[in-house]
Amino acid sequence: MAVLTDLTELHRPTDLAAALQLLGRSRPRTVPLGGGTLMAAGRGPGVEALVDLSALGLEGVRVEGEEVVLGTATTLQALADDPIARAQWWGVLATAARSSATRLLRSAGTLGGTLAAGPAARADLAVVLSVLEARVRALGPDGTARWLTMAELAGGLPAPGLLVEVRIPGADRADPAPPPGGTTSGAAFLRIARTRTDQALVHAAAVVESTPGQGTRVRLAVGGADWPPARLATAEAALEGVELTEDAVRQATTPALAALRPPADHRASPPYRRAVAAVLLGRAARQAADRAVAARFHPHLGSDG
Amino acid sequence: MRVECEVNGSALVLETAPNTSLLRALRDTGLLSVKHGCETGECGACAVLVDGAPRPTCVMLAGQAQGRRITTVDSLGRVTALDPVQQALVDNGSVQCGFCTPGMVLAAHALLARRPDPTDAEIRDALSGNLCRCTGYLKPVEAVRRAAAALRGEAPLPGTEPSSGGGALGRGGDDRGWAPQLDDPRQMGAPDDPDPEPRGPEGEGAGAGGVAVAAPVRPSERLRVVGRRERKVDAAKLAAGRPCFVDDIEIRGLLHAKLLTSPHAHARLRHIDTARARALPGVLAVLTHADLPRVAYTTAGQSWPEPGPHDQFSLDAVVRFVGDRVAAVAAETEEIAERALELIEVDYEILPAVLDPAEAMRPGAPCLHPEPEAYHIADRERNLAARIEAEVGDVEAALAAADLVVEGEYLVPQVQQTPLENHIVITYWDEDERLVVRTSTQVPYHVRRIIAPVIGLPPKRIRVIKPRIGGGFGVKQEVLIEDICAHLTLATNRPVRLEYTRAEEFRSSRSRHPQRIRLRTGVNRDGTIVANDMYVLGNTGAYGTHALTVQSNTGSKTLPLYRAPNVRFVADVVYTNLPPAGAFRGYGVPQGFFALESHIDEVARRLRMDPLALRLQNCLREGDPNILAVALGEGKEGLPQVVRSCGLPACVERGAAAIGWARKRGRPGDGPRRRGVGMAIVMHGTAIPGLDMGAASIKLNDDGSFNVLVGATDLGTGSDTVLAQIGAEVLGVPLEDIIIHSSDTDFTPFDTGAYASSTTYISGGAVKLAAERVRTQMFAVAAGLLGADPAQLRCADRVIRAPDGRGVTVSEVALHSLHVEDQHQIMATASRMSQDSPPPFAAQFAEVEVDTETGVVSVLRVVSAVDCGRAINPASAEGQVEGGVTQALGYALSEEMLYDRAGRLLTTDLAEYRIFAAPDMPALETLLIETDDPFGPFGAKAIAEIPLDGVAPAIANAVADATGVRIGQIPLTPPRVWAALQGAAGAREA
Repeated sequence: MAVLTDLTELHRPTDLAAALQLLGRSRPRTVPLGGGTLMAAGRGPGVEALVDLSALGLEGVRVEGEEVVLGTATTLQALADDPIARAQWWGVLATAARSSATRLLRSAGTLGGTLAAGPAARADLAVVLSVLEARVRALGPDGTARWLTMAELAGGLPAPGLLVEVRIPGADRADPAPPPGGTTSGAAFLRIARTRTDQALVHAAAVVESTPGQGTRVRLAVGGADWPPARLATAEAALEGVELTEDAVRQATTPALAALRPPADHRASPPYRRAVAAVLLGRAARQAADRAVAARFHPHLGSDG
Repeated sequence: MRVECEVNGSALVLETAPNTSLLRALRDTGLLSVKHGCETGECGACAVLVDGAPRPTCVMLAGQAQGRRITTVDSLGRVTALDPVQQALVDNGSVQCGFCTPGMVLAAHALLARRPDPTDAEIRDALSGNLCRCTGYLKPVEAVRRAAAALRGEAPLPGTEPSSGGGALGRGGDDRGWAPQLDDPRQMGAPDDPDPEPRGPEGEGAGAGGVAVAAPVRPSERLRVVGRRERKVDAAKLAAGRPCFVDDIEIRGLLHAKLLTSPHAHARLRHIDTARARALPGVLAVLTHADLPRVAYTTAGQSWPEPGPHDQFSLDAVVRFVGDRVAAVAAETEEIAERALELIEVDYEILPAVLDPAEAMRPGAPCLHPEPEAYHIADRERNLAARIEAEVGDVEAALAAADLVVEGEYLVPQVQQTPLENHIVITYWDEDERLVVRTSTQVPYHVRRIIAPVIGLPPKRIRVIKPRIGGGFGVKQEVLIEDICAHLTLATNRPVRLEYTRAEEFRSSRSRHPQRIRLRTGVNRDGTIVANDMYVLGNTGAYGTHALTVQSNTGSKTLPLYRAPNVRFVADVVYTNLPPAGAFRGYGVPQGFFALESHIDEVARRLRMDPLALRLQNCLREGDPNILAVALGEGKEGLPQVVRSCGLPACVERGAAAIGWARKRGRPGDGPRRRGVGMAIVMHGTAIPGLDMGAASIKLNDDGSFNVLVGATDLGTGSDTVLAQIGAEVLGVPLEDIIIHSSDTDFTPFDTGAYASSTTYISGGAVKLAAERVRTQMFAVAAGLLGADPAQLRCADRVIRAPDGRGVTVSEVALHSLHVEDQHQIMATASRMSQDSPPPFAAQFAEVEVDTETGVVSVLRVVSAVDCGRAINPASAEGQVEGGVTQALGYALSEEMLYDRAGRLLTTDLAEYRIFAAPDMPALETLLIETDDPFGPFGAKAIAEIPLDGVAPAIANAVADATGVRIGQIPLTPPRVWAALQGAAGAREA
């Protein structure tokens, strides 16, 4: 069957300049193609030309200094299997990549396509990237680069343009152990759905940094199907230095969640999403805090193996 | 555009449009093992390996394959030489309809290439994108584990190794060439060993998920083929991806059809202008109601005369739901047909719509079927498609006198059958100008009879062919699109193909009736149930296809399970402007049992009794009459029924032990996550008594093989295998000597079709009888050759023997009768119908964990103890149970068709409408508690539908055990459970 009814051109450039030049055209209406699963499933109305990004060398995961760099052409499966994604931040990046789609769709779907589709991708990855304070590098048609936070990305893609890489700060270096009294971190990601392979009704992620004698700092993000990820800055501030019990986190996040506007759709009501978001945030923060403490003594625990 | 790639090791150039999917491009090159199941990449039927990685091709452009290496199952094994993964799937019964199998094989290969020794979790994840609606995934996961061991060069794991079958002739050790012998058969010494030890049913092997088979019940009967875990006779070709489904043929000049459907829930077509669509180059026909005769009919594939409302027309001037047919187009390509739809101009007069069944019955509600041509409607002014009332005893008096009356109300959702293969039909004129209808149906004979008047051809000019079917589960007991495709062939004189997309399947096919059920139960303090009163408000949507008979079953198959002498059942089945309900495996019974078995737990709670004990105290036993059988037939008065076999007490006992009932019940634990166990007992029917009929023809060939021709319709259930086993048993030959064919209305005898759990019992009875007649004819010839009394002959292992040990082979008898003396074809036909519908019974148990803070219900384990009489093939019986339980898990937890206020369906793809996938599966345990039914062939009763009946109430009862909260509505989605728990907590505080 024909999947994109208006499509007349399919390009696969081998260098970025050519890709940007194609994407910069006003006619025919040209958009980038990652794996194509979301675009084809949605039948891409109005898309007249596609630029397949698979030959640009944009795939791969690497550590650069204290940053982890993810190429946007990396497939979700490659991310789920990647040793760096599995080792850093207690593996939440790999875990969320795996739960974002089925095995078959993960071989096709890319990080860039998932980010570009936004909440329509119904992917768990977004909330994890949000809590990890990832920044996304977007190139305009003239090659000018912009850095976008996940919140900015949720506000809409810069068009026309191309997402080329994602950078996440705070990567663990290869040190065998943190210096005594130094800061350790833990991360956790949780989701709930009708079934395990179903899209998440609500997902939540937490990162906790713990320094002996100085207490903890926590970062929290929440979202779900058709609910773009949101960081809970006021709750994070309120929780600084506080012992991260589930109750404390729930109390701190409840007013922040009340200010959010989760979707009211056939899947779940906003009150349900808010209440369950508070529960998941509490559990994720608690788990992340425990992991941060554990990392102090067993640094190898930081990976999901 | 030109795409160069490598496909299965050879360079291939695809000439395609830029927007052609790889799925389409591959099928167009003849790689028909790549299947179309959806358009969103969610089902995995279209998976191939792209540079070794498994990907769905429906959401991949052909152009993305440029320079890539594509692998399909066509490059793996052949039917006679499967590769280890395919062989493992065939061996352990993982192949049911087989539509998902090629994709699953490839996903497994991709896993094993990277992980030669995968964990179960890794296997489940590897198969997470390959939906299967037949098996329940446990057997496929086990098969991948076994294939991994085989590929590592390890000895086969212990377990179930079938003896033959699988469709690969010769797998039973008989691949020698055959040549007729010239010796005088009378002198021929047949092999020694006049009475070899029978191989007997294999009961010990534990299949996937843990299966136990109780001891067979007739120890004196020596069975050689029946009772064995034979491979499915069609499994090898399905695993090899051979072209055997409706769409897997190439026809010159084939046109593609598309339907224009209504965007409104209720509207009159003021005017349709098709001029622009007709003018589009490549369009051959555009049909509207103005082009077709107005013939009222029902799409329900049932015996003549169909009892339900005849309220449909091929095309009508009124549309009654979003998705109802407006016009049909046939064009040279699908794209042209789609473009033509956009050019049809329709002026809709929007009519008031009603979506709620209670509102639809009120005075002043919009009337859905005022048209005078429609008939068999119970009360069209009140939108009643059907009304059912039955009472035995005096319910009101009994309730008034009872110590306690417990009332409850239960809600069950509209859910869809979701076979992996969508509806598809191809119609064409043959060389005699007879219309051939090649269709994915459960009811080929009903298709021929029902479409004949609708398209204006007599049945003698129609031939219906049912090839392999990619699952049906009732949705193909509906004559859904054959009529419109035939109209288009009549209009164009060209072959026409019409296939639903997955979205069309959701919007415009059929579903399970949603119901609101009220129950009142009168019970005495000692636990004796004295009265049951059930009222059902069923929603049939815009058409009343199975309205009457489904809702009849909601009462007639559930209430008689308890011995209460006073029973009343009343049902109103109401038209609304929603997509129609129809037949779905279980056929009204899962609805009734969700209510009844939830309710019995509430009665037990009120009495402070163990719900298991309350059930055993009141349930039906052997020798009891079915109290509602006469008052509630299917659409008419029924025949009296007495239970002749009942393994229910054993099912309860064995199931309770397996789940750990005594140990776990009433111990929810502390903290936010609570555990519970729950159970339900259920019964079903086996065929419709006095109505269902199946026939079989068997003929003997030169080499001692037999053609078995049946109208029975294997839609993936394994019925061809079971029927062939029955034939082989009677004829004294191994399974590989049976060549079974189903079904073709020109060549196979009549059968009502695959529904009402009838095939093993009815069609199997016909095969048994036909085989006995053939055996009599063979014995007559053999008696002449041996100079023996035919009454003294026995046939086993292909040899017919006299009591003195002399024998002739079946092939010798065939050669003699065909070529040598008194030449004749040994052949017989037999029919079977039954006045009795022996009920199978089951006890189903669930253990759950409820996250009380999020509402997530995790099912940890389901135990099904099923009395299906004798299991003709325990492996396929388990497959039926595991698959049925899995569909029921979706019914209980995740599946629900949801609409907006305008009646537009919101759940139109397999991401929103969530059926269970491999990683979602709990542990399943199947216990086959065999009984010996006096009526069924070799003691068999039904097994197809009963596994669906008790899972949802067992889970709801387990949730109540865990939380103390009764939730009377499924599916138990996290928001619904959370809201119920919040409500209960609020009520406690108030």
